[in-house]
Amino acid sequence: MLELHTVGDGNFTEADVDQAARAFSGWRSTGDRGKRDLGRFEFNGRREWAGDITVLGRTFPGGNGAQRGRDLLDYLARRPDTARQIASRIIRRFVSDNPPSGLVASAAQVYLDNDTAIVPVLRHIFNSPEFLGESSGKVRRSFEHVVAGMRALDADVATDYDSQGSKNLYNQLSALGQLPWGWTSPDGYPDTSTYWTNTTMFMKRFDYAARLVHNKFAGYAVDSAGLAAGASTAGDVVNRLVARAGLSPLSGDEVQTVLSAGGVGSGDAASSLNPRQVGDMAAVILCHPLFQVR
Amino acid sequence: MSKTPTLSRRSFLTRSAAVAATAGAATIGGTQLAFASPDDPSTGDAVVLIFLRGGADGLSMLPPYGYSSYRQIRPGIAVGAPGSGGGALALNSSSSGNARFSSGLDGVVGLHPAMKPIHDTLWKEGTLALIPGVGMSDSRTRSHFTSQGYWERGSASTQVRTGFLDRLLTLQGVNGGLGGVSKSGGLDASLIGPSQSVSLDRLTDFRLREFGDDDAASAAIRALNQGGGLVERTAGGVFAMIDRFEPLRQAANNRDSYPNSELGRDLRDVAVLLGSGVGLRAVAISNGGWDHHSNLKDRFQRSADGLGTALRAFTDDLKASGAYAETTIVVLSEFGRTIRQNGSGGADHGRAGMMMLMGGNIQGGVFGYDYYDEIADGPSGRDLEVLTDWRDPVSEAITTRVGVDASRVFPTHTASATPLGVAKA
Repeated sequence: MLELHTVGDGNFTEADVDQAARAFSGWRSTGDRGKRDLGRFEFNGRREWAGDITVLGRTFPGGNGAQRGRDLLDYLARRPDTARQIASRIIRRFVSDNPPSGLVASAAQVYLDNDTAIVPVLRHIFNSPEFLGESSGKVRRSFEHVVAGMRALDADVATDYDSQGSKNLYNQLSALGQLPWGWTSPDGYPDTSTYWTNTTMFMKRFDYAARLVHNKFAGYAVDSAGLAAGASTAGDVVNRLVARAGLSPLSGDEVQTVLSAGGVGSGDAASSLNPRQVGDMAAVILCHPLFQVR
Repeated sequence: MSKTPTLSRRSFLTRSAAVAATAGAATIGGTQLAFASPDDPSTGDAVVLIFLRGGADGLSMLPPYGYSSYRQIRPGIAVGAPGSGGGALALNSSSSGNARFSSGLDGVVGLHPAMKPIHDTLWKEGTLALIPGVGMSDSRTRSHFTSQGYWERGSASTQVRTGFLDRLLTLQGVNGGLGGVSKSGGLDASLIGPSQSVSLDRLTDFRLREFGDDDAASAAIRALNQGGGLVERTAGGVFAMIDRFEPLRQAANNRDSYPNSELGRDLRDVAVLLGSGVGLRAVAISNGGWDHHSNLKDRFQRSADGLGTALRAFTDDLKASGAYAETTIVVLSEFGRTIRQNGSGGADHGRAGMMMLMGGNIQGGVFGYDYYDEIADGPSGRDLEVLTDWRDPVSEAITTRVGVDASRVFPTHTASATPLGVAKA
């Protein structure tokens, strides 16, 4: 909590850890993991540490029941170090592996000015020149890649519990190394490009994109013909697919390269394309370098 | 899902700006193009970790059949004496080449009969180290999840976030390529970190299944990924690897000496990679199914049969290619099981278990036997205590066989002052 979720590494001592732990004595869950029962929060006053505790200079008296833990969380949430850590993490997610210090400072101030509300912080970051400017080339994490592929192809995905779509989503996230809650230590999956950029992972991303386009996953339905609907020429189809994938327009040479994957010419009538041709071109676009980055 | 394409920030960008940005990212040090430096310059051993998931029972793998107390504590599941039906394999100190085996334990401790395939070869030639009483000295957790995390990171401290094999690789200068390989769908925790290890679940499947290598789509993807940025170089590496793997896929398909099992296929792939000079330095393999809470005798037999036959095929293969002399194989599990059997003919999560090392320059023998005294004297507690921290024999192998400072691989562990002597220089 101190290290990862509030003030951050270097901003607390082992004594703070010891004291903070006592603030949560008596807290428990009624759940039973073996029965998949998440349970409810419960406070057991007999297990409460009776003495006062002091964390980061603030004393929290005993005898306050479960409220003491909540008071500590409130106190930590409003610390300037917490503001900087939260701002850095959001900026690392959306802007750059190396958060610009000026943006961290201003976003942290927005967090404190708004009494820890996150939405104003997001608004501040999304309107910043750093966000709106050039892409930092930050590589997408696997979860984002899987979902971005579905969105780009307008895939119809069955998401009911125990559906084939859910099972395949599980399998793909597992294969691509980002199963939710699958990271073994409490710091979460890395949020830096280098971690997500390796050959096997990219091979699996390409394989995923091509198999998704061509309906090789039970429970996912992609309508390739539908993706081309309304276009007049094959070149037009490519431009629409590029826009759907969220890419800036490709150069003329790159459009030609994509068309070559479908074995068609730019001026060919869109209505003459078969689903395999449209799908191969869509798969190639999902393997474009710009589709791998934010 | 929405029919409206989401507006992306990238649609605002000019192509040139984005390409420049991805090219710039390369300077922060990403994955190197696979095979950029083709063959492995290192001379140390490659390390193959086989993690037995679930808590393998040390008292079945290395049964002290000679103690009557052992049979009394485990009346339904004890492994019998050599020569009896399903009895243990003898580990006599007179076996050639084996070291540090107390003659006082001759006729007392044996090896599970399912290990016969490697008892016939590795034990007899003196390259199989058997270590009872193994655990993690600073951990008492009985949680599979927590314990596996500790072992794979090589530390019970939350300050240590990378895997121990990752650190082993990083200290050898490995960054990307095929230096570290996880033989599973994801990356095993022991390989997580800056070494940029890769997961490779099936060598024979390393290709784009939807496209042939010569398809127009395949060629188009290659053409779009010609740039020098991190993303393009990595994508280029995919195709370099697919091309490079083509003969290896054939080789893997042609090896039929392996059992038809997950572990058999994993080890077959590793043998092909080790023999192909792709620079493989560390491998993590997971072998599940060792959590024998009930009917332990039969279920352990099945799990161990799978392990024994796969290890025999693997080590035979490595010997044939010459790689065995430069490979250290480590077999371990996150904990052992309770001393007594439970009401279901199984045993529950315990503490100390066992580990095994093998390799051309591993010293065969049984290392550490004091824990059997606890059985002989009649056990006082629920668990076997830890006599050997697993990081000690692994540190010896790392120092002696890989040539890396083990204290940097295990930063929170102080190595035992008395070496076991499991690795030969």
